[in-house]
Amino acid sequence: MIRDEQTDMLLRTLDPADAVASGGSLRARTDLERILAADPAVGKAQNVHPLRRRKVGRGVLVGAAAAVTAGLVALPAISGGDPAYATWTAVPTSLSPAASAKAGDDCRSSEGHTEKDSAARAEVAIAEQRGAWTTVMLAGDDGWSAMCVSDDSMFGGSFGYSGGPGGSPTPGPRDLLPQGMGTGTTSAGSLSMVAGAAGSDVVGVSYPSQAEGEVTGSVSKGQFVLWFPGDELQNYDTDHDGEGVELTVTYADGSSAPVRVGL
Amino acid sequence: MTSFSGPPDREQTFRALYASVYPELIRFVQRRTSPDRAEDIAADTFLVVWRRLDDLPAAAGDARAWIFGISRNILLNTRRGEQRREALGLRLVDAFDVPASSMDIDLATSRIDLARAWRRLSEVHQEALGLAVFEVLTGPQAAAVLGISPVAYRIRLTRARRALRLLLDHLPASSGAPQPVSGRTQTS
Repeated sequence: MIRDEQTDMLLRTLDPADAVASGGSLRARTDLERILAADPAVGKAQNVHPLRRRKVGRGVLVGAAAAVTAGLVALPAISGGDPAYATWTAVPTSLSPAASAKAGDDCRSSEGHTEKDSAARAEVAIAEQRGAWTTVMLAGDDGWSAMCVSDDSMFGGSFGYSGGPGGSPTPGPRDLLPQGMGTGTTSAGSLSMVAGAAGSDVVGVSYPSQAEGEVTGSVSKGQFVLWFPGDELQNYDTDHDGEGVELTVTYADGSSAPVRVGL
Repeated sequence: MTSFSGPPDREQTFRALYASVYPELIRFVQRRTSPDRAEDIAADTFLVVWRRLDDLPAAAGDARAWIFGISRNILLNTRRGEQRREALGLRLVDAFDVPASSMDIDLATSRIDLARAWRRLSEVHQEALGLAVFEVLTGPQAAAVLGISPVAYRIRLTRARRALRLLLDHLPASSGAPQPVSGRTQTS
């Protein structure tokens, strides 16, 4: 029989923790500044996740019906949906004011939001159309934002995220600050997306998708959103050596430049 | 030049605390959940610390334990899709990760047996032992992490050690005892 001291010594050889974890990593330093930017007087009784920026496709995203069983996939065809992203377009069109308001209301009332008050106060920053697919970005207090994608079908064709970093961090005038990035799922299949805050000089954003060609995003009221079918951005963080994905950003002066984004 | 010094302000205090505890907190979380969640949990934890900085214990060891306690609560509260638990079990590395040829066979066998026994240990006992063995907390500090009295923790730790010994003594015969790697065995 081995003694407790020997057991402890052996247990320490089985320690799964990273022996070289450091507070000097980029992530640690970024989190520190975000925390310090948060109002310390706010949120003592709230949940503790306002810092977590959404990495799509890791179970954080919520959609009204993000997990639709295969048996329901055929149903959108009888309810006006788009079961295969067949109508999706790489360049969006804008919605009428009435359609934009309705889409905003639908997004605010999504069951996926956990912060109902933030959703209720948020305004529609972006409302765009890609074939049957309507996309809404809501912008609220303290950097809170929500994205909703829907094909207006009765079942399944929806996807979204909500949340915020807290502390109202704002990107530089020519920068982007993604809040959600990665892949998600609707009944039509996987989609890749990046969305978040845009600097004051940013008027356009696009991405050269391998599968879909040049995809044009939407920018309005300090927010941007860009999405396309497929799971191209599923491993964006490892596919690009951890340096994020390169978007092309267009500025108010007509110039454009590549900007790398990542969470 | 005139310089003034006074009590460190709130931000300075937090920055110093963050720098000193962050690595240990990452390791604390890595032992208790998926490693890729460690940074998220650490960020959530320090956000709470920032907002409750007035409650920070004065002694460094107690402050560290207090932060671990906050992180433990977050981990317990964020376990989705699972029945809420009252204790956080700890995982260990795979005892087979180290090639048998590179260490004493008896030692390697002991590690494998210990890992097997650990997996059979209750989460309550894993947690009590883990705070003492991996975080090297004192009894009162570990008790603070768990939100129980020092006496209750001492009893729990004693029972955990006893349970682990019993499991080690009654393990079924190991089929996974390492064998020397023949290709690397020197012959003369």
